[in-house]
Amino acid sequence: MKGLEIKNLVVKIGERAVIDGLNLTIPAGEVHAIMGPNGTGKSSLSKAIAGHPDYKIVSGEVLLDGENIVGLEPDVIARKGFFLSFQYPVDVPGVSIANFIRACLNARLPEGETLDAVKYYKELYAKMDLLKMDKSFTARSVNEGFSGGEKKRCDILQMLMLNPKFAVLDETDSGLDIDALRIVSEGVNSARSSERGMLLITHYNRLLEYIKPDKIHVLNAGKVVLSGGAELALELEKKGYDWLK
Amino acid sequence: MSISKISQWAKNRFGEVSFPHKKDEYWRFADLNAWGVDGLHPFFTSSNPPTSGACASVRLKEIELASCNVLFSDGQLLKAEGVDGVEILSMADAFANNAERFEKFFLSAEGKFDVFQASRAENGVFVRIKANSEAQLDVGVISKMHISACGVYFLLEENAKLRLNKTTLTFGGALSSARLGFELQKGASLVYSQHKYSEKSALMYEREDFILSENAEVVDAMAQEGLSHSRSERNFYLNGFNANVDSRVFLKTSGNITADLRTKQIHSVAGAKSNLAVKAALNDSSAIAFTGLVDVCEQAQKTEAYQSCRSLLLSKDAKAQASPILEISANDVLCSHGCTVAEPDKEQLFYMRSRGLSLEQSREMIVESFANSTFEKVLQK
Amino acid sequence: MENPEQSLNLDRSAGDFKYAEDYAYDAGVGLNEDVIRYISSVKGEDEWILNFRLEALKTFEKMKNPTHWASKRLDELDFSKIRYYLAKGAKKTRSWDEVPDDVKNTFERLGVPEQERAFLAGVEAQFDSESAYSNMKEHLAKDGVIFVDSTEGLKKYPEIFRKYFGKVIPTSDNKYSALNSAVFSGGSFIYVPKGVKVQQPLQAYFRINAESFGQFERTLIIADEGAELMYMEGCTAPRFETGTLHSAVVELVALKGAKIQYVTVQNWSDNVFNLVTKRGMAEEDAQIRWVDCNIGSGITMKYPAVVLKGERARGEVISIALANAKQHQDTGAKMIHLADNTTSNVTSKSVSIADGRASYRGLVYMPKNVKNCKNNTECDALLINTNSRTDTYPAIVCSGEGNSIQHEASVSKLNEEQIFYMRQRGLSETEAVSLAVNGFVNDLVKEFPMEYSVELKRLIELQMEGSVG
Repeated sequence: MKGLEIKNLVVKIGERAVIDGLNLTIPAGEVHAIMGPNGTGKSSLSKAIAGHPDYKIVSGEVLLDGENIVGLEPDVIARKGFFLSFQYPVDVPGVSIANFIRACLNARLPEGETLDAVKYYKELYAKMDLLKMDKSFTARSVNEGFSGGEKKRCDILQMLMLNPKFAVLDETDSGLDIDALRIVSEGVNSARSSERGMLLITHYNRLLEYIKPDKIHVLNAGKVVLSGGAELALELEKKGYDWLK
Repeated sequence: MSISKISQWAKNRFGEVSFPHKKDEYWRFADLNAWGVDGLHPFFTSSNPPTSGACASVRLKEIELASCNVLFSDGQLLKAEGVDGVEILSMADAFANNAERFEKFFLSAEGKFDVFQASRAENGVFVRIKANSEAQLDVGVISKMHISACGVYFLLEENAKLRLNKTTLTFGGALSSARLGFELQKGASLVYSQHKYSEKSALMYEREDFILSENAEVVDAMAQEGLSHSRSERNFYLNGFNANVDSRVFLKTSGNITADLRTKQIHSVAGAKSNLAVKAALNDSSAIAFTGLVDVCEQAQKTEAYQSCRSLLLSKDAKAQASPILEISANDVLCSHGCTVAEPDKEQLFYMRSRGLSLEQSREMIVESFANSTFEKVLQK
Repeated sequence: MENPEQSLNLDRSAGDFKYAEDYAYDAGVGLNEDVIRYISSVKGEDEWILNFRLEALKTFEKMKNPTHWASKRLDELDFSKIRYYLAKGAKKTRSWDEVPDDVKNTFERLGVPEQERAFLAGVEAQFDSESAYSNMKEHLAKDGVIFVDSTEGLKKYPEIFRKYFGKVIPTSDNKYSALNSAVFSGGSFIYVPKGVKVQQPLQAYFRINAESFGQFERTLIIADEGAELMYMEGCTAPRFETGTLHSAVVELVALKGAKIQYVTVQNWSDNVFNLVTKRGMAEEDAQIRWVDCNIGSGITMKYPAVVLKGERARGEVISIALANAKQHQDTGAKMIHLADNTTSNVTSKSVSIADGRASYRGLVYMPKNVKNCKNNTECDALLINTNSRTDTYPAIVCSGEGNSIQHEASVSKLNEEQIFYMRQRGLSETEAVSLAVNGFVNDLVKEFPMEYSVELKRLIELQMEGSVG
C-alpha cells in the first residue's frame, strides 16, 4: 500500500513505554491528524518513526509505501521520503539555510551528480514567496536566533523543497500568530497531493480550521483510543479529553 | 612507617628539594624575592625574635580568637575543646588506625613547603567527625615565632556534616606554614569559611587538599587581607559521582605584596561538579598571581566545571597575573573559564559620586559589592 | 606514550637517503659549523650573514627547550638525525607512484590540478609558475614593492632588510628561532614603500620554484608608513614532505599607520614536527592581523604574536585548529602592549577529532607604564569523540591605568539533537557532523580570502570522514 502503516508499535525511552501497541494507517493522498493531551506520546511517535536514537522501537512495524523502515538510520529514512517537521526545530549555527537545503537535496542525488544552482535558487525563492519569507532569510543560519514562527516556516520551507512522500508535522501551529498560521497552512495545503500522505500532530483544533484533515485520531497512553472524521475535532474542543480516559 | 619515620624522611628530603626558582612552572608569577632562597633564608636561619609589623586589625583578631574551640599557636595545639561527634587526637596517637592515610597525606609532598610540613608530622592533629553527626568547629591558627608549621587532617565520615570557621593570623616576622587535609567520605558535607590576616614582613603559606567521595559536598569561602606575601595551594579532588565543590576566594591586597593562589579541580570520575571563583581587589603596588587548573580525565563524562578569576585594579601600580588552565579529555562535559582584569567602572563611580559619596567611599562601595558574593553560599548553608 | 619515532616517523634518515642523491646540494645529517658554512657558501652569502648564522648556532646549542610550549614533546627531537639543507640544482625525481595513496586521494578529492599535484607531492618542480611570478613582480616593481626570497633579499637589499632582520624575533628568542637563524633558507622578504596599498594578496605560491616551502623558512615583511598588504602563506592542499622538522621564523614590521594581514593555512603531512615563531611589531596606528589555520602536521607549536609598540596600534589573531587522530595542534596568540591606547583581539576555535588534541596557549601583557589598553580573547573548543582532548593555557599579566583584559573559554561537544535534525533531512551522519563543524568555525573561515575559505570548507569535510560511527 502507498502511504504510512503503523502496526502494533511499541516504543520505549529507557525502560518506559511511550507508545504501547499503536496501529494507524494513513494512505497516500490523505491528511490525518493526531490529537491528544500532553504526554500521551504524540511527539514520541514522530521521533520514533524518524529513527531518533533515544526512542527504541521494541516491536511492531512502520511501513512507508509498504517497506518496513524500523531500525534504519534516520538519514536513510529521510531519503526514503519521510519528513518530520519538528516541534522544536534545532539551531544549526554557521550553516545558512540556502546551503543547508542544497546539501540535503544533494544527499538525495546519485553519487557524482550535483544540483543545478540556478534552478535550485529559482525554486527556493518561489517556495519562499509562497511562505511570505524574505529572500534575505536564505543567508541566515538555520534556525539560529529565529522566532518560534520563523523556525516553523523554515521547517515547512524544507518540506516543500525536499518533496517527501510522507510528512509528519509535529505541533506546527505552536508559536504561530494568526497571520503566520494562515501562511504556513497555505504552504502545507499546497503540498497536499494524491501522491503524498500527511500526519498532523496537534493539541488544539485551531490548525485544523486551516488544514482540513480526512481523519482524526485521539491518542492516549501510547495508543489510538478513538478515530473519526474531521467533525471529531469540534467534539473534542467542546468536551476536552478527560472523558476518553 | 611510624609518624617519626615520616618526619625523618622529610628532614632528609628537605635538603634535596630545591627552593622556589624562576624557571619552575610551579612558582610561575610568584614573587621570588619573597619565596626564593634569599627571601626564605632569614626565616630558616634566624634565631632573633621576629619583628612585629604592628597591624591593629591583626592584634584585635587575636583577642577574638580566645573564643575558638580549637587553637593552634606556632604550630602547637593549645586548646581543643570537646565537641559532640568530634574526636581530636594528635597524629602520633591516631597513627595506628590511620597509617595509610597519613602516609599518603605527607608523602605526596611536592615542593619545599610540603616537605617542610612533613618534617613536623609529629605535631600534626587529626580531627574525626563521626559518621552521621553534625558539628561546628571554630579554629584559630596564630603564628608569632619566626617559623611555625601546623598540620591538620580532617576526616569527615559518611554523612558527617562539619561547619568549619577558621581564622589565620600571622604576625610580623613570622613564617606560617599550614597544611590541611579534608577527606570527605560518602555524603559528607563541609561548609568552610575562613579569614586570613597577616602583618608586614611575614610570610603565609598554606596548602589545603579536599578529597571528595560520592555525594560529598564542599562549600567554601575564603577571604584574605594582609600586608605580607602569601601563597595558597588549594586542591580539590572529585573522586566520587555527584561530588560537588563550590569554592570562592576574595583577596584584598595592599602595599607591595603578591598574593599567590594556585588551585586545582581534578575530576577523575563522571558526574561531579566544581565551581571556583576568585576575586581580587588590588591596591597600591600589590599583585595577585593566580594559576588554576581544571583537569577533566577521560572517564569523567558529564562533568560540570567552572573557573573564574576577576581582578579589580585599584591603583595603576597594582598588577593582576592569571593563568586559568583547562585540560579536558572527555567530550560530554560543561566546562568554561573566564578571566577579567579591569578598573572600577567610571560610570558607576560617577553615579555614586553624583549621589554625594566621596571618591574614596564610592571606591570602597564598589569593592564591597565586588566582594559581596564570596560568602553568599556559605551563609546560606 | 607510544614510541614517538614510530608515530611521528622521526627517524626518516633511511627515506631521506634514498632521495639524497637527487639533490645537488645536501648538507648531510646533523648540525655543526661546517654545515652552516656549507649552506652559506652554496647561497653565496656575505660575511655578515655567515657570522649571523654561526652566532645563532652557538645560541642554539646553549639554549634549552622552551618551557611554555607543549614542551614535553620537544624532547622527542633528535637534532643529530635531521637533515638541515637540501636544495635544488638537480631535479627531484621521485615518481608519482612513490607518493602515498592517502595523499594522492586527497589531491583528487580537492580537485587540485594535475601539475600542481605533482609539485605539491614533491615529485618534480615542473609546475611553471615562473611566468606568473615575473608578471606579478613587474607589476609590483612599478610601485617599488620588493617581493623576493630571503637569500636574494639579504644579498640585493641589505640597506632595507638588514635593519629589521632578526630584530622583531632575536636569534635568542627561543631555541627554534636560534635554529632557524642558523640554517634558514627560503621564505619571503617583502618591502612595501610608504603609502602603497597592495591590492592583490601576495602569495608565496607564485614563487614555489624558489625555495619558498623550505624546512627553515625565514620571512620578513616590512610595510612602510601607511602601506598596506595581505600575505598568504601555504595552501590548503596537503604537502607530502620527507623532512620532519619544520621551524620557520616570520617577522612583520608595520610602521606608522601601516596594515599587514598575514594569512596561513598549514597543512603539512602528519609526519611533520612544526615549530614556528611568528611575531609582528606594530608602530603608531598600525595594524597587524594574523589569520591562522592549522590542519596538518603531527604536532604544531605556533603562537603568533603582536608587539604593540606605538600608540593606538592594533593586533589581532584569528585562529582555527583541527586536530585529527594522533595530531596535536598547540597554537595560540601573544599580545604585548607597550604603548597607550593599544587594542588586541584573539579569537580561537579548535576542533578535536578522535584522539586528536588541540591546545590554546596565550599571553596578554600590559605593564604598568601603559594606559587605556584593551584585550579581548575568546576560545571555543569542540570535541567530536569521547576520547578527544582540548586544553587552554592562557596567561594574563596586567597593571597600569585604564587597562582591561577579558578572557573566556568554553568547551562543547556535538549537539546530538542538531545531528538528528540534519539526518532527518536526509544527510548522512558524516555529512551532518561535517556541516556542524563547518558551522562551528564558519565565522572565522569567513575571515580568510574567498578562495581559501571555499577550500577550507572542503578540507574540513575531508577531515571529518571516518571520524564518526
